[in-house]
Amino acid sequence: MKIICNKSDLVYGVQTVQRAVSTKNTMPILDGILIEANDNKIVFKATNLEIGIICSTNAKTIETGSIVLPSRYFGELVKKLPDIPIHIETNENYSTNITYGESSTSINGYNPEEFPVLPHISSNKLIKIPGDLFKNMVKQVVIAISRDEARPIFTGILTDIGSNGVKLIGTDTHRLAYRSNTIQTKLEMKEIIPGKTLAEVSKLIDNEEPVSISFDKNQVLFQTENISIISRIINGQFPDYNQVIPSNYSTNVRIDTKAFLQAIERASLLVRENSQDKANVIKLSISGEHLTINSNAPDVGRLHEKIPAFIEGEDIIISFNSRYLLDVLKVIDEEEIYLQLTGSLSPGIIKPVNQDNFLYLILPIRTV
Amino acid sequence: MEESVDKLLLEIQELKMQVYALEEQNEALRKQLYDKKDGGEGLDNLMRLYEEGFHICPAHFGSYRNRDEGCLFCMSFIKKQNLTGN
Repeated sequence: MKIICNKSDLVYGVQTVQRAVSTKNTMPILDGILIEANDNKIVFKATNLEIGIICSTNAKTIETGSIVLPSRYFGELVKKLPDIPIHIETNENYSTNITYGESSTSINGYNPEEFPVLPHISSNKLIKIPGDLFKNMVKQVVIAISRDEARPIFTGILTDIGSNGVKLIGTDTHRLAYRSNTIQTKLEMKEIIPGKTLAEVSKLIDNEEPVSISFDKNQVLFQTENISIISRIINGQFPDYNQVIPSNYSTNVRIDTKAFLQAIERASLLVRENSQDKANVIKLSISGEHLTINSNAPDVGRLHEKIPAFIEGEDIIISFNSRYLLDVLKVIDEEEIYLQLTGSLSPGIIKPVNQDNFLYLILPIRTV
Repeated sequence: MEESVDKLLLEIQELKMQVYALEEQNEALRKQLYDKKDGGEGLDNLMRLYEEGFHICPAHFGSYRNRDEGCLFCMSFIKKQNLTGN
């Protein structure tokens, strides 16, 4: 393989696929990036066997071929190269010369034949979503998924596609985020896509570029013009999310999103626990024309905040994990939200005032 | 003498029949009572399991859960059972 390319194309290709490079050193070849040169294009590939990323960029191909180079050295090197034409040439024993001006570096590579073959997906189960919409939908749902690998279905996002459009649902069983959007499609299907994959895709795609998503039996493929991301689908039965969403409420609070977020941020300072498993409890009292926030940590101090709110229905005192409230308030762009409650033990609903397509369900914490 | 024995036998026969009838009735009542108790106890047992820190939702029945925080699906399951029970 012999190619000439510029630094920015090389950095773009390497940095894009590097997200899929395995951090666990189980197979040395998975620490590598496969580079294939053909027809004045170079294709970069990397995989950790969970997710695979393919990225193509322009280059002048003098001799076609392929090589696997260790990501940790090659990836760092390309970032530090001067901004001049870069020649990459493979020699015998997979050693590769990277020449820039009068200087050169030689890196030992691996046999490209040993690199795992990424599955080819050609499916007619395809849907196209504008990049910015996709990113926004994922951002609002991924906050609620679980990190507990012992229960894999909750580390994924249920992608429910039907005639009404696309619905994304994420839950860790303590809270649930639901986002829908009308998109013209004839597809009818439900699949659980790993949350990590959707987060990676969100980071890699452009706002202006549409992303096409195609499914086969066990895999899902995300494609834009230059990038393809392949991931496995999580097998399992996602519980019926419709039955956990309450259909009515006894208290409805309309409140300024930013004021609420800032108050919760201050309140959570005192009760912040370092452990992810521990709940950071804050108490909300809803009465009259105010929502009062109290947080109390006997060793640190206490906080009391009063925010004006428009309240309908019964007065209520309810406790939540502040982390769950912060997560959702940070992903709502609307100026005002509704907080809808039905007693201090039933799940509460948070949704933007003028947006019907997002809903967040949060279980209160029982305090004695 | 013979007559009084016959009378006694007849009386015993009647008492026997009465005992059978009572036993039958007793069994039916017991069954009724047991069925009623079983329904209530089942839900109580599930609630106790949940309170002790186990999932009772169909997806993760019996697996350990964090007791500090509830499970949306267990709660909705309890609610559903309560509604169908009433």
